[in-house]
Amino acid sequence: MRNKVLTALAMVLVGTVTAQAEPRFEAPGYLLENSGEGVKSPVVFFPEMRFPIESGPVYANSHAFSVGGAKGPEGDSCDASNYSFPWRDNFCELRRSDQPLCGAGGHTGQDLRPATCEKSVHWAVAATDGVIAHVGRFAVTVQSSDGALHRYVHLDMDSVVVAPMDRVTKGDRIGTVSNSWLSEIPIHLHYDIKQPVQIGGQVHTLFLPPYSSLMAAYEKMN
Amino acid sequence: MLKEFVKTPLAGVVVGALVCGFLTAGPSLAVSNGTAPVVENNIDWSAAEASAAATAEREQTASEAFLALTSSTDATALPVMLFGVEAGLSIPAFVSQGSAYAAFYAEDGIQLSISGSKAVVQAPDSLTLYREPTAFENIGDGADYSLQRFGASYTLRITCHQPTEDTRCTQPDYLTELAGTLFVVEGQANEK
Repeated sequence: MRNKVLTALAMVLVGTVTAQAEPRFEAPGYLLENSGEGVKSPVVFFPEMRFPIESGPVYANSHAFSVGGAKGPEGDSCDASNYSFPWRDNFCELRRSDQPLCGAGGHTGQDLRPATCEKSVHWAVAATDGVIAHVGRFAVTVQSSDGALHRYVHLDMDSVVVAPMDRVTKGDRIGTVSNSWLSEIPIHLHYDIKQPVQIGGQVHTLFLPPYSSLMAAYEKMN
Repeated sequence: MLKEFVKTPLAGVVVGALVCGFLTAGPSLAVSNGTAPVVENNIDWSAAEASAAATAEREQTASEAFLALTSSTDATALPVMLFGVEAGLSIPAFVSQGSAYAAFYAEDGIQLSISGSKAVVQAPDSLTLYREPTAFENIGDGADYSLQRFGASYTLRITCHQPTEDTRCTQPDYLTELAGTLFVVEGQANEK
């Protein structure tokens, strides 16, 4: 009996360690090697937000620097490695170089791959109560009541069920995740958030790091 | 019982796994609960009223058309700024959320919006400003132009059907010119 108890205790401890060794989230700001310099801030800027994809699993990682991406290893963008944990921050990734909050690089948001590598299947939903402030050819912007602009890019625009000035509440469907763009790109949602922020006594309207907020919202969803 | 367990071979396995686990966990992180406060700025209503009065005659037609919209009667706790007559645009769709508002213009080959807000995130120490922000910013499928007036923040967003070719999206000139036509709607320059 005593040996059985000890064995059970050992199994629990080993299981716990295994779980720690295979985390679901890499820390904020730890971008893929040679893909830019991230913002290593654990601050959840949008603690009330709902996760912007209706259901999981969802995989946060770079569509550009991962397998099958324009700057990544050759292969199929539907590769299983792109649809696995842990998540990887890609705010400030090297796409451009003009973002004020980025030491190097300048990707304005986070890439999110839905559960399966299928376009026009998985719904992007309102992360906040607010209004549809902008609808373009590839993207929809939701303005929250405190003025944050939540942008959903690469949607299947034929699937979009909202129109400018519609009021939305958290979880309302917006459109399905796709890869709409001027050229062929991997299926993913580019999600970014812009809001006025006071830094050093000055107010600037900037894209803020969304990764920590997405982690928190994902944890709440699951 | 713990003392006995420590003496068993299983204890070695467990300790090894613990060490291995912590070593390989790397920078992974549990979800943090640190947040950044959001505050509402004070609005300089006197300056807004003066601005509205200065452009009232020139923008009378646009103001009256806007004020005829049902949605324009919703209380807005910041000055409502719209594109002026020189922009040559139609009357926008409009919605107020109290401390924020949005106006949307659908034009030939482009979409334009104005997002106004009086809320400001207070940056935590972990944010660093590596370079001075510019008013005009390319956002991939279009561009933004940001400005502060009367204590409020305004973001002009444009998207184009051909975002990499249409100079209204790729170059700052068009949004800069539009920003120059912004006016405060008379009757919307006072807190309701």
